[in-house]
Amino acid sequence: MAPADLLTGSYLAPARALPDFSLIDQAGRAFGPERLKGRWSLVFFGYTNCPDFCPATLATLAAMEKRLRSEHAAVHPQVIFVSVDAKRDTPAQLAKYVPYFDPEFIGVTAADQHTVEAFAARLGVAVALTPTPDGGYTVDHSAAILVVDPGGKLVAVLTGPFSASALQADIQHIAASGG
Amino acid sequence: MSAADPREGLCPARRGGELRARLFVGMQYLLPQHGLSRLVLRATRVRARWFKNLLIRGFLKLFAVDMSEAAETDPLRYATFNEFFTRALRPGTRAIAAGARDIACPVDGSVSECGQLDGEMLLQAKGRRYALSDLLAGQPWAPRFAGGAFATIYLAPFNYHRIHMPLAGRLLDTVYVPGRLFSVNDATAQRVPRLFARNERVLTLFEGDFGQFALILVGALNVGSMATVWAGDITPAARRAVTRVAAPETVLAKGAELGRFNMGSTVILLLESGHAAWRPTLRAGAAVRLGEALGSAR
Repeated sequence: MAPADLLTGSYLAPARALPDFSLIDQAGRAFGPERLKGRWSLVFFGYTNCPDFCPATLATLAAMEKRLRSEHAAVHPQVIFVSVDAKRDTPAQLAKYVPYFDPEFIGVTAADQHTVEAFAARLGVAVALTPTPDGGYTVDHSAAILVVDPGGKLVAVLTGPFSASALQADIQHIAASGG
Repeated sequence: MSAADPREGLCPARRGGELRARLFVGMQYLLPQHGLSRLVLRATRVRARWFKNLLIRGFLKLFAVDMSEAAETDPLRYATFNEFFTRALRPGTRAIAAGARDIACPVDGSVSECGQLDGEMLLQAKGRRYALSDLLAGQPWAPRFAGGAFATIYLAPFNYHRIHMPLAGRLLDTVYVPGRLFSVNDATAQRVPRLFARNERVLTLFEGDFGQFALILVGALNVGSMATVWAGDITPAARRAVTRVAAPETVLAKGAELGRFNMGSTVILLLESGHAAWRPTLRAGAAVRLGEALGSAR
């Protein structure tokens, strides 16, 4: 059993290879497994209509990035926001929303809802749409932040509570422990 | 003030309507939840007689507490408020459902929600769902309960505050998960997304005759501590990080005490898919008592 010494989550033991996937980034470009290689990544699932948890978490991640930048930290992960609401979150919608938090954040969506739900399920991220009486729907989803190492493997799942300092400490701990 | 509605806990929200409920919930985002709860914890362990008697008398004025069921029926004879609050019941006041397949209710309280998990989603309150893996902080055993049965039971402040085993079981895991300390009453559960996956909690996993089952102790505003019989006080935690709690080999009989809360809170019982069926009358709002059969295991 890996040591449980993260502040906001747990290591995966052993690290898990990601499935193949074919998504689209906010610029409309293909987003596949190669985009998660060569540097550390934090992958967070959400949707732009989320009233509460998604914007709060993105703001916390942005604060963490700011700290890392100002400290010229050796490990500086890219932040990927994967929409679990493919119908409403078009690349154009993500391009309006995601950079608001941090210009370097990458927003990712899928051609259809099934594709993103299948991807999320493979990573252990639960997603469910619930129709509302007015003909719309709400999106419920796991709010974990997944930590992917530069080799493209899922090494830790962070479940909170999130603060910029706790996330920074965990990222540094994970990077220092190998990955 | 009259005795509070059993579903309200310390929250005056329902009486004041929607606006007050929203204010009550909104205010909690801003409160120093842990500081406040630690203050309460310290106050509840004070032994000075005048002070603890003041607390106990005040509490009895606010809430209809049935002291006739307690092992010590004189509320002022408890040494601290906490001892009064986590008082033992007089033997024989709760019968533990005796059928081999009966799932015994682990606490006195009322059902917040119950049913089957929809895949990996649990129902929190009307229209709000949250992910099993978030509740269980990504523990490797979380997927085992996908599609299983869950019951979320709210303990009001005046309820008996010890938690007992729903089935006989051997302890497999104990995990402390840090988090917020939102209130867990109805008004809050309807408004704060992912409430039970955000509050501080203690996860316990057991193996029994009908597969594995988990009991989650969810902390809440003013819950100063959560304790288990094998590890003592787990919260307040020295370090707020996901921590596996060391435990000796522990086997507990159905109905045996498992742990206790200080102040009102919530427990969530999880059973594996195909291993449990709740009785048809078990639904949101139902008042339940320790030991009564919630359903049957198989």
